[in-house]
Amino acid sequence: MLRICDLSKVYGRTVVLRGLNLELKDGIYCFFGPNGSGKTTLLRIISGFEKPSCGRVFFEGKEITGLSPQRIVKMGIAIAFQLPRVFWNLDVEQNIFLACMDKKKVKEVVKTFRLEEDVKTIAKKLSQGKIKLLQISMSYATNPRLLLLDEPFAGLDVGNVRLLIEILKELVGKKSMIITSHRPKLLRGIANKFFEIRGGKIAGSYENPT
Amino acid sequence: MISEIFTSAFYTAFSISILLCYRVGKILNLSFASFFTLGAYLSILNPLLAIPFGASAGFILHKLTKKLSIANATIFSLGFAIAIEEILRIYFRTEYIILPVQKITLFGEMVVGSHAISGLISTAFVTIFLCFLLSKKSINLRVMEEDLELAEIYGVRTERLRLIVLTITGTLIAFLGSLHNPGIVYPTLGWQYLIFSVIIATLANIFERAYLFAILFAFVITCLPKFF
Amino acid sequence: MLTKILLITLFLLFPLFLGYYTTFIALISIILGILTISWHFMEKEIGWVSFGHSVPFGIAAYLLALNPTLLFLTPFIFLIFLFFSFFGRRLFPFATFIASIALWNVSHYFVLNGKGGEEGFGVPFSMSLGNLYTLSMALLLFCYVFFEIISKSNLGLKIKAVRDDEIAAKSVGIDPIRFKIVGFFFSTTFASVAGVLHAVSFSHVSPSVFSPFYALFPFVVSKISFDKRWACIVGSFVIVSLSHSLSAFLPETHYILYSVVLMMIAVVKKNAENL
Repeated sequence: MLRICDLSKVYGRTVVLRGLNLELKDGIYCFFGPNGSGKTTLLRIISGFEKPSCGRVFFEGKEITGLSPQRIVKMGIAIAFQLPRVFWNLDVEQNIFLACMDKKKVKEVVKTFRLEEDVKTIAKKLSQGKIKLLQISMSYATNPRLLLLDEPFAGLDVGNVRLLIEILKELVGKKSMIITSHRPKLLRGIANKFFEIRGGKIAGSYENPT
Repeated sequence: MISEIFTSAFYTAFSISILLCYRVGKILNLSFASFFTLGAYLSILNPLLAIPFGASAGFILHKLTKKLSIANATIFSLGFAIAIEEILRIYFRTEYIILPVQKITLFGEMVVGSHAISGLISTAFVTIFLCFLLSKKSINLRVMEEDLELAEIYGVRTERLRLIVLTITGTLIAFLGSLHNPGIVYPTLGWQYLIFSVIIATLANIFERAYLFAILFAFVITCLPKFF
Repeated sequence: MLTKILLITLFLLFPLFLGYYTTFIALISIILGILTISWHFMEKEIGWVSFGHSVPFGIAAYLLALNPTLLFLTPFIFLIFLFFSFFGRRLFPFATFIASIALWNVSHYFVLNGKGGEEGFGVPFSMSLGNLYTLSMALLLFCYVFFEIISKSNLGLKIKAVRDDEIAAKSVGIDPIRFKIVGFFFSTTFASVAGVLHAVSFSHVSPSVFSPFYALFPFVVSKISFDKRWACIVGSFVIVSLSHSLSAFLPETHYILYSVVLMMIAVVKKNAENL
């Protein structure tokens, strides 16, 4: 599904990714590691929000390196950022509608992400947890074959973490996902494989991290 | 060429004033257009009147905009500029006033006398400002340019510094308006000088040493046409 | 929406039955109403505050005066705003304002050095006041309905999405540049239409079409109309009527109002990111 060849990213003198090689089949993958290890940069490169310094990215056999984010979304990869990016002055329904342009799909997504009560609420009036859910639901609504979730649990309280885990469990087998997290344990029973990133390289891969 | 040098000195002082207000005072001071016009109108009575009036206008502007964001402070300065222009229009009750222009000979070249004076005053301002920048006392100014919150944390009296910047530049622009006699005075006179200076300031602001580049750009833009 | 349109139509028809001077003042209000509604769309839906809507307004007027065939250039005026949008939302109002003032100054030389006299360039054709009023009224109604429909359409929703967050828009597959261009295009095109009508109604185009009166008029009217689209039409009538009725005692009254509104808005909305 996703193939990454010799991917590197340099910001000034800082090397964030060093010749990363990876081949992923359909499934759910968790990338974990310390701050600055390159997790977010990797997702931003795959989704087209960053251009790699060198290396190539292939999705379902087609090269997507350097394509615009809009193009990549249309090819079937969607991203939900760590810091939520939503349409703040539009309501939840409009936010999700913009991602799929299909009213039936909006109802389905709203149900999946437990946003039924907030359908007509303006995004800026939602709680932090709901905003996070809204953003993930928007990415999901684009009907991607690969969903990239950058630190989905960051900034969430226990209740919302539980709710998100519950939703992710429902998506197992339905969507391929790459999830970055500081807390890989939360993804036990969800992710098929765990990759540890350190210093811009894959430091190890595990079926079940301890 | 002497005339061009005076003009470039005038625009350097104007652009540096804009840069100072923008970088230190966090305001794109569009009121300068009317400060200049205010000075030009006051020159009919007495050019020196521009000094207290310019300082007061700068002081009032600081007081009314000190808590506003850059965008809102700038909008306020635009409203303030229009208000001053309209007060001048109502007070003087004429569309325009023609002023006599005296020419003098300097090093064999005919130069407008008032332009020479405004050029010299501008040169003095720029020189003093550059000397200040080279001194240790300019550190507060630089910190405030970099980060307003950080400056406050380090104990810089940002509000006082902003007041000084807005008052001094306000005084300077009004005084230059009273000296730089264009031959005709009308309520929107200052805008053409402001636009030209904003262009110079915008170009200079791209660079880290914006004030030095303001001198360079003002010189190039005003003197270059002479060579073609 | 139908009730609003009906009420607006009745409101606009009323001056037609009054004297020549009143009808002419109403005509100017209608033309500036089109300018204001086009500006309002740009601020509310696209999220860009322009202090230089006199730029498309004035350029279109000048194109008509120079040679009506040059009007084919008006659809490209949005490129000027697109260029200024690279300065960012915060500097955009001032960049457009400076551009309008620069054009105001430059056009004085242009008029004197070109074929124009002191009053500016003459417009090659004219219309009777009644016909021009009816045409302007129809265009104002069309402009109002057009922007109402666009605002509620999927296209409008995408334009609003780009206004709210360009990165979020990209992440759901919306091209921000494309929708920004579409928005700018609609807004500047209607501002150009207003410019053309203005030129025809005065039979000449003077540099004042770029003056702060036209540059700031939409902003001030929109603010005193509490940002309501329909109220912008009434607001336009109020400012134009006030300006003309008081001109005998206190010329340029509108500028005093402008300065008050600008200062008030800046103070009242001191915490707002984008005005």
